[in-house]
Amino acid sequence: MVSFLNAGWAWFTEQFRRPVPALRSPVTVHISDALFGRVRSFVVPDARPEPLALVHVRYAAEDVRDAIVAVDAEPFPPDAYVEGPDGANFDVRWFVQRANDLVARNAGVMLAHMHVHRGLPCFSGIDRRTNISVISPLASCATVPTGALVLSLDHCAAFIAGEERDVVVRVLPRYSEGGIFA
Amino acid sequence: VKDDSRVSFLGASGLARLRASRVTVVGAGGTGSHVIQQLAHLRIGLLTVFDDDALAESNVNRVVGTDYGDVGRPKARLLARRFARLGTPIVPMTRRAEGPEAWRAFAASDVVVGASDSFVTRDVIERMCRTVGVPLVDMGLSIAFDGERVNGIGGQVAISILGGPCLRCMRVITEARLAAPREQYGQGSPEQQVIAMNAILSGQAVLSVLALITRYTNGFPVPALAQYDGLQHVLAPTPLRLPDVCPHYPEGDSGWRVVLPERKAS
Repeated sequence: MVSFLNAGWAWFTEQFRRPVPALRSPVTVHISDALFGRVRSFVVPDARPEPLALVHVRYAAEDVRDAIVAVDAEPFPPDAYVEGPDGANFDVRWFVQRANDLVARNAGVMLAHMHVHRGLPCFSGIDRRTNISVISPLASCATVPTGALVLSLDHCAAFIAGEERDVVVRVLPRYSEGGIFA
Repeated sequence: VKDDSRVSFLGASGLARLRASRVTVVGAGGTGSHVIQQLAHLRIGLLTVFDDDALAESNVNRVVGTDYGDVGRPKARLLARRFARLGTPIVPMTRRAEGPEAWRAFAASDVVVGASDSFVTRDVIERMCRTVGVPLVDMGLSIAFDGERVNGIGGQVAISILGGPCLRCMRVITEARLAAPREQYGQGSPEQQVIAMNAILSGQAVLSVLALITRYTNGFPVPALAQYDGLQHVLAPTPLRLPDVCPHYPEGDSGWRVVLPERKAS
């Protein structure tokens, strides 16, 4: 009898209990110091005014979409660029194909380039149009993150498809020979 | 309380980094309570404490900030309240360090401190820290006691960081230890007089945290492994002979892997 009343009371109170909202923290892209150095070396202007790179990224865990981990990077091959009036012109078909290939390897893509100045960079109007028209549609594959990375000489900012604002990039410390910060 | 960077050896930028820093401590027991107390005194930006245990009577002789009136209360919440007025916001998580909350806390932290006596827990939190690239400062103490005399007192503070040796490389975690239930303070009574030894290890751990956040060491390397010999009364950096790349945590293998269905041949 008591257990029946307890079960009834539990059911009754459950009707008035609101679901607890999931904890959410700002989306952050985590990249190691060494990998960040590689990305920087790929996108520093050389013969080409605005070289591009692809950063391979994953979610940290299945149920944690606000921590994104960079795991690898690659420069754009020469034949992935096209000529045009703007600084960075790339073959969108090649980009989409490469993104598809990487999904099969459990990685999303972030399109990286550099603005040559000091301080926190921000995406230009052309960059934002690219983010909306090229990168955001790729996010329909929700198992991997998709976005863009803009570097300055000393800072970095990121766009992640589905996020309203630019997200924070954390460059993480690394071990050196003999200890840390040796 | 005013900060005066002119008199701080951390300097203005180091002090600013300290004030903005976030640290997560896993375990609010013998070593964890010292770390929580010291970080609370240092006035960091945010301190998150994970511990799903309640204070037992046998814990009181080594968990700083507690007394016998606190027995039965959750340790994380208890210590968060005890040190709340020191200026560091402390978030107690009265649960195990797993699941989305732990991932988020670790990912948002500058450093995670592992103060658990369970090797399985230490293995899990190292895997999570390595995934999100956040340094882990792990510490542990064990006493070899045969019931009559002490044969050895050993402990270590180990830093597991991207590109460097992991706890397995440093032989802190081994398969045999993972099979053992917990780090042993010795056989017999669970009430062990280890508060001073815990203080030494946790002091070194907090110094490592301070160095990782503020880089106050002026180019002098922070040891990845410092070992403690309680019978010799020595805490010393341990030179490591390690492979160039940690074989246990390949950096490119990080993050959650989606298992996609196999494509059918058309």
